[in-house]
Amino acid sequence: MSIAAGFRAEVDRLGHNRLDLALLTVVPAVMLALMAAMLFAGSPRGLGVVVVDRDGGPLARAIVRDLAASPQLRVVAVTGQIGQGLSALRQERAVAVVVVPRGVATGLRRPGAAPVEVLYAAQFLATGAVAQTSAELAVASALAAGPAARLGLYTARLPGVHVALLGNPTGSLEWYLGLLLGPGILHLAIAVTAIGALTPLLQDGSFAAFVRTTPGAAGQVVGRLLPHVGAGTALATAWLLWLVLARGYRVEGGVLALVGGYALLFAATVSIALFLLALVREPATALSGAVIVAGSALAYSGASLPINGSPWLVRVWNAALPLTHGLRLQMDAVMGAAARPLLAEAGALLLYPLVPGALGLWLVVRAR
Amino acid sequence: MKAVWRACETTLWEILRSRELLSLAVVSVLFYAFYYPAPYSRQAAEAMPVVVVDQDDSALSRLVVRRLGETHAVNVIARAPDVAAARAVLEQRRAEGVLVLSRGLSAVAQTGKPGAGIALIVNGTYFVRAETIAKALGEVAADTAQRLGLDKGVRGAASPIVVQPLFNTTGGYRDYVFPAVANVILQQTLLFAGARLIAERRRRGAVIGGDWLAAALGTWAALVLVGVLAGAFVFGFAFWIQDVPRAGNMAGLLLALPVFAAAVAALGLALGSLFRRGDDALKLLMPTSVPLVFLAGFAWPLSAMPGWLAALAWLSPATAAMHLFIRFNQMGASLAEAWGPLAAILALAALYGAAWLWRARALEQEQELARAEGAGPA
Repeated sequence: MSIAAGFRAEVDRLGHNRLDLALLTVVPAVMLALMAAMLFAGSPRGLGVVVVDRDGGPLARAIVRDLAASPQLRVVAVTGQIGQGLSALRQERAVAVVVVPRGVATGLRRPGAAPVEVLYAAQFLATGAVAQTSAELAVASALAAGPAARLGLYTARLPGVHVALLGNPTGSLEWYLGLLLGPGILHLAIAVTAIGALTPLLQDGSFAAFVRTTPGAAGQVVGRLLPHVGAGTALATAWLLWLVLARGYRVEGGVLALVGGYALLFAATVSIALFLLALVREPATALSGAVIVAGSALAYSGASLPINGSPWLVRVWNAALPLTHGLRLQMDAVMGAAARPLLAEAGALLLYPLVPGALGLWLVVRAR
Repeated sequence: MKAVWRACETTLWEILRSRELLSLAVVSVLFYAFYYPAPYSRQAAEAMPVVVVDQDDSALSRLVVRRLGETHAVNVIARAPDVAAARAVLEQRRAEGVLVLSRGLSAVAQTGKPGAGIALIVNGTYFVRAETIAKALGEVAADTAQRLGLDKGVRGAASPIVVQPLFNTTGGYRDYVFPAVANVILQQTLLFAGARLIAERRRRGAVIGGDWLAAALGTWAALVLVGVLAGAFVFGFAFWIQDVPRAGNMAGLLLALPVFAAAVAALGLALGSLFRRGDDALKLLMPTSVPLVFLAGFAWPLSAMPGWLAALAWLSPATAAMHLFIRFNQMGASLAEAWGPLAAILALAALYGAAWLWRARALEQEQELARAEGAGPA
């Protein structure tokens, strides 16, 4: 009963507080829409490349043509000066420079001959790596059709390596980043709104007045957090549907496992928010804590760079953060993992309502 | 001028005396400068678990497996009798990839005839892991082919294509992520502090006292000073102690840092002036941190975004800062080479500065009105 009353009280509060209502609905929806627009191209295309042509022969021209033909690349300049190429990198007009050595057609026959160099701006590593791989493939294609190949220089090779990507068969950056960004953005947004939901229960830095005057205070607190779990789950599901139905990406595992995983993630999120506010009893500090826990959770999740081999403190913090388990569950479901790892991550997510959530509730009700 | 200095001094004391403001403007920067890059400290993915299905079981296939296992990137954790058994290990999430060396591989490599090959099945949902395993296998395959070629007496350039990362010369992940995200950390901490400072002053009815222009300029100057010191700490001490590529163009950095701090501080003050409670300002601004990182063009280039979105992204000072400070710190760009983002941050400082002064004037009028109402007929 008190949970339902808390739920109704929170819905009523949101109806009267336009800012908090917007923070739970419009603001995260707009942020996700911006991310959808950002990723809409699927993969970065037309990345600038400068060719430093020190040869000028037919093979060098073939290299330029193959670079220009790559959809990922756009030849912004052909020059004889390496300095101009490097300056273009520093101006971000280009992300890669291909240096074609003098005598490229004949030089490759000689041991110790200068190779074709692909220099790329690794300071923007994601973009630079796409440009580097595309440039390398284009150059290799031109060389394979050139005189060196006809002379049999490249005959000794292993058969081609065939790569199959489970859960992301086209190697789409949009799908990969989309799967990270949706839960990552919503995790922080819901942590903030959950703190906002409980802040009105504080009076002079204490929950005592609320607990004294409210029958079933613990249930009321749980009920007030439920709309935030629901909103987070609904928004995350909408984001997934956008990626799957509108953008055509495929989930190998069960969609229900994904939606259930989102519900558990946001239950964990509001539990952490409750714990933070109950602990510090001051909204600004609790919000700062939420940013520490949720704002950097993507970095600590290991979903971009794996954290195996990192210092133990990093590995412990990685395991302690709910987004780590939420993302693992999501990625495992997307690639079609077996039930056991999915259940393990779901079990880990259940610990947050049971440990920090219950602890937070206890801190609230003991304020009597 | 004295009034500006007094307002600046008052604001600095206000920040130092308020636990929340001190935590947002100062402690957060000190903390995030080390907390954020920590999970990236290894710089590269390593020891990615891979299961091998060696159907060829030849000297060549064993060489490929051995050499793959010797790389930093891959750890061969098990051998499976067939692809189904190996995939089961992958689906149990005990491995990130399955390497299949098909029967007849060795013969095919010797003769060049089709019929056998190497297959790699990887979990593609984690891009960096998949890329790391595929790259390691590609390098092992190319190197093994090169050895085979030499054994057969084929001569030529050791490798016809050489790849070289520039500016972040190890291609390290931390040295890519942290210099980019540091700009968003600097922006958000100063933005939160400025917005909370002014919203709380408004709640207390103490936004602007006396000469409104001097008070507005003094408040702004104090936050600029905090922003410059925070930037100097991150780009100087934190980069130095963590050995992040840095100091490519110190003069450019010293010129641009105050302009960036001025743009962010003015934006924080202007936005904060729209709220009557500091917590409300924080609740709106805090969730923007993650989208702003990505909209700045660090993982997804601005050139690949729709034009309207890229234009919107440039309204965040961190976007200009990312493309300015990375050029100055890591790329060693000259002023001429960084002119575009420098002009953008100058324009933002002017725009947000004007917005803050306009809002400060409006707040002063609001206060005057409130005073007049308070002193009205009893």
